[in-house]
Amino acid sequence: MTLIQVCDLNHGYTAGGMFSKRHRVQVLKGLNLDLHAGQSLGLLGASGSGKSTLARLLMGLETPVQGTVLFEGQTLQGLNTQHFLRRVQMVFQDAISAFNPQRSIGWSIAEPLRHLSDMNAEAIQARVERLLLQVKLSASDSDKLPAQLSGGQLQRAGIARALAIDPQMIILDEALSNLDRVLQVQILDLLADVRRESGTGFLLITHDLSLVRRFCQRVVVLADGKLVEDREVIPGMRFEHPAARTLQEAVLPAMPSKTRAC
Amino acid sequence: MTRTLSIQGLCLKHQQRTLVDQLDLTLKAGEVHALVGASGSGKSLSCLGILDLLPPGVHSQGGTLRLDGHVVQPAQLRGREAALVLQNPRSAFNPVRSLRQHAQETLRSRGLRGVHADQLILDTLNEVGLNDGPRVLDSFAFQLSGGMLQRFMIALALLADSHFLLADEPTSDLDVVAQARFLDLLERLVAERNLGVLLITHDMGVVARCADQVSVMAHGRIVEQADVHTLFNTPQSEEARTLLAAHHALTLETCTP
Repeated sequence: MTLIQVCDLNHGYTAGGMFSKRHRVQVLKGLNLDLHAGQSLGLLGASGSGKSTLARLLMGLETPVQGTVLFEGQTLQGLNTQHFLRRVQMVFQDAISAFNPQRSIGWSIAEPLRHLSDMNAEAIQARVERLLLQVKLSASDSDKLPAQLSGGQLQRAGIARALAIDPQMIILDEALSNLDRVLQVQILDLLADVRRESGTGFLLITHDLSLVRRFCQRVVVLADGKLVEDREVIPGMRFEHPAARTLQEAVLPAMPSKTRAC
Repeated sequence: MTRTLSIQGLCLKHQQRTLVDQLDLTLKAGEVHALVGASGSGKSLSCLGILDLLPPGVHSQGGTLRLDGHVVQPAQLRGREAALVLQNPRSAFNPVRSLRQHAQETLRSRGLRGVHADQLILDTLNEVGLNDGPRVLDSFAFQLSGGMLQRFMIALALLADSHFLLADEPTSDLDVVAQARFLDLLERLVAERNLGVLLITHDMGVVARCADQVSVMAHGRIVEQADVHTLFNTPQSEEARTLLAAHHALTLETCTP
């Protein structure tokens, strides 16, 4: 079942002004994409390819210059925001700026529950504690301020917040890129459990194919403002588009290969 | 004789807490020595401790630095024999100086200026793959991408004619393509210029790709030192096994869901 449908999307920004001549940067050019309920989709692209722009458009944080984003057949602009956010949540790349620095972690994680559910304070607190444990933080982190957590811990708190309302789709915009490998694997396995148990769909936005291989069922590759690959993730999968091949070949080796006489 | 840079018995403390305990490391010219460990294990502090660039409140006790066997002071090495490349290149540049001024300053420390210096700067930028030299030199740090700034940091190290490079998570903020290019460059310079590199990383993929020797760090101590093949085939410490398990979970093709 298609949850979010992107049709013929064009989007760009005006750059320059202060130091250089104003000019138009076209980021997305006629992009089409279907996000299915319950599916984990990997969106792969090099930096500057427009991955985050697409994520912002999917969340309705920006209005596309041309084309439409449909959620269950309705445009995002005409939709009740609360209804939409109850179903779709996002984790941002920059965890530090995604948290209110003056409020505790527990308060931030509880925010979707306060606004989007009718849970009482006690139930909310219990839910927050469970979420913290789920992302391998401790219940006592609930009272800490964002500045007291490391970048990796804060990123996990962001994931806990996205999980809080039990949405149908979570968009992870480079949300794992700042974590070390050990944590990346732990979080991916955790999200895979969530998908199996509650049927949550995921859009994993990354430049790292190894994360997609571990977690996703389907992968699309963004280059030159369009999707240049769309295929199922299977062992031995090989891309054909040159931009996608570059991303695939840049994946680091599993074992040392160097045979240098020391 | 192979040139070496070694530190022995480095201890770093913050008030009464020991952050790094009895660290011994030897870098050899023409080799990449990887220092790996989880976040908070003391990798970055060790790197800063070697050059005595510690943050306020952290002080070092003991620790003998030797260049080719002779005892030296960190200040004699910084920016000359040993150059530093950091994870966040943007904060490593002066935001109100052009990159040309950075390069010229480095060469002035070697007594080089004028036309000869300008040519050397352009040649070095070419060597690190920044082919659009004049444009890069007229730019400020905020106008270039992270990958370009990392290359420029390497270029500064080459301009200083450093023989040793200490690189703290140089590719963690880059995308995989920029990372692969950076590691290509590093490997080429190690081979061509006989550079000795300390490469701090938490990614065993980077280690597999370009390290010769590996030190594994945990809780401020080195818990294992081995050549890269030995470490990957027969890891001894718990930390090395944890890092390798995560690495293989992501890299082995058979692990697709």
